[in-house]
Amino acid sequence: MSNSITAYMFLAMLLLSIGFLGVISRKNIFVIYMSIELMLNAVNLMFVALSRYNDLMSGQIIAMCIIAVATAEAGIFLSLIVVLYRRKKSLDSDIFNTLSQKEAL
Amino acid sequence: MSETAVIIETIVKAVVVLSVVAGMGAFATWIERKVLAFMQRRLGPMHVGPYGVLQLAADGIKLFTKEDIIPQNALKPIFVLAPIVAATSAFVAMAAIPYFPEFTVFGYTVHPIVSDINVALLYVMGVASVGIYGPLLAGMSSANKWSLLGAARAVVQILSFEVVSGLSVLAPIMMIGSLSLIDINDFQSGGVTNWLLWKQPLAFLLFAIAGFAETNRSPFDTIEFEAEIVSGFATEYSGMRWGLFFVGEYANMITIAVLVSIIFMGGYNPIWFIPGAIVMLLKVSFWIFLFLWVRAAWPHVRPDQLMWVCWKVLMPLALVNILITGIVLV
Amino acid sequence: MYEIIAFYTFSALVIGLFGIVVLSKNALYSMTALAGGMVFISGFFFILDAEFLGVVQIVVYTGAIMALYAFGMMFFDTTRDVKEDIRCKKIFYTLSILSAVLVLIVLSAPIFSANIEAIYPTLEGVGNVQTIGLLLFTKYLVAFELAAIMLLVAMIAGIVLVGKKLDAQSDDLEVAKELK
Repeated sequence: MSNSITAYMFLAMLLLSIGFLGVISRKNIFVIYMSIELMLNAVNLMFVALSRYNDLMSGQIIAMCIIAVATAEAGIFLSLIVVLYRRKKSLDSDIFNTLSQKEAL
Repeated sequence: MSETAVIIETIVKAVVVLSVVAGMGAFATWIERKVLAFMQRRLGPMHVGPYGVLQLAADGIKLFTKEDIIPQNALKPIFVLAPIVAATSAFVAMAAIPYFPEFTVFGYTVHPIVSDINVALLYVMGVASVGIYGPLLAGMSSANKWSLLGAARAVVQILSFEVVSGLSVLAPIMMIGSLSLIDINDFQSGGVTNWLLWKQPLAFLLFAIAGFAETNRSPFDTIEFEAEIVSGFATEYSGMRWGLFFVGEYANMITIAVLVSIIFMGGYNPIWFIPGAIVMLLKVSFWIFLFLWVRAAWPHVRPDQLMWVCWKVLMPLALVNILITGIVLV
Repeated sequence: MYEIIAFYTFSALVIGLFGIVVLSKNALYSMTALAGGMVFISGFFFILDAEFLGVVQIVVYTGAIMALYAFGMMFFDTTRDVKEDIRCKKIFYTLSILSAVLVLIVLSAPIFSANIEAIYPTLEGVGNVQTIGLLLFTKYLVAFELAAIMLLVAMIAGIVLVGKKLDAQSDDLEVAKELK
């Protein structure tokens, strides 16, 4: 188990890149949001692994703070999605382009 | 003891707990019918076996041989997954619960707990909260309005009462200073007067009410209330898939009964001359009976009344209880 | 040995489930897979002796956030696939997978080259609730309180966003637009 910290870090990075793939390749805003959660989870895993292998509890505290941030983010993002859906009746992220040059009034 | 031995012991314990609780759950269905029947001056199941005991077997055969229907528009993988989630989460929660005091068989000490983790109470409540995925996924994948309404009610009700049960159980934890259910049990050793019930009556009451709501028993069974939303999330289910939901519900009932007995009613400490294991069985049976008694005695409540009571009465009471406990402890 | 078996089992499960999250066309599949993956991530926390965090992961992520999120999904028809019209599919997918692989290489190359050594590979008694509590209420008190305030702000923001008053306003706006 001498290099298991490397395995944990690699796994965390792999999950992070999966989340990144989701954020850039999907157009359903629900799935984009879930990919963000997924990336937060990957970072969490890395913090906990590091805190275990360095004998520092700080990593776990930071992971808890990340979970708190994710909770707050979930609440706001969900209400944002509901508001956006009420306005445009769609979940496609391409429709929300009011600020883009092409579609501006 | 080597690692392998621990693993084998854990697996054996898990299988024993699983089979015993599943058996008790099945038996509880017969008990429920009988108790409800006697409370309503009926006889209940009488035809299969003596006093209808074998009705269990008949029901089991019926459930297993019934045609398995999956609606055309349902999302099949999720539709299949939902009952499994409901049953699994109910049973996995039991891994951290101690049932009896430790005893010795053939010179080998047995701890009747699958895994003694030091966050047992949080673990049990957390895994039980994962149980909402059963109704949730069932309702969302069935492509049926009643199912969807049932799922919505399930999420709202269970999430809300999770808050109440978590806050109400916080006050006893503050007094004990440990999340391990064994520590909680040992804290109350020494007779009936040491039960936490007398020190935390409000927390006990709130936890019991939240327990009724989380296991979706009447008077809080708005999730699958026949008169309003046909059968709630289980409308489209039949055969063994529906049976799995049922088993999960009864397993949840047993979990709540065991939790209340351990946290507030002295756990498996012996009373006077009665050994701990029998005391525990008596308490759990009493709680199961109470579940049925309340079902026979009380009418349903409306979902909005339920939410009103949860957020405007129970949660403030739980907070006040924590505040008072903190002041007294300091 | 069992730790290694558990690690690789959980890794395979988590990677598979998270793959479903990202690649599935149906949002309900994604949500279910993500909830399952989060449960298995908490399995890693249990292996790493962080039981409290593992339980918090289950309670908060799986039990609360994803359930809330599923509740939000009930506003939309979840049994149907959401159409995503993407022009130049081949280029799009190649580029996105390429960039994900690039992120992976960029982030994990330092880990392998630095050859991190665990300072204390095995340590007993770390990760219990008391230690977290002590740290949380002494060294990290400000962060803790700020997190509480942040949650309050988020709650108010959520209520205001979907509240009826704002809804009425946006309806007014839409009516005004139509009148124009």
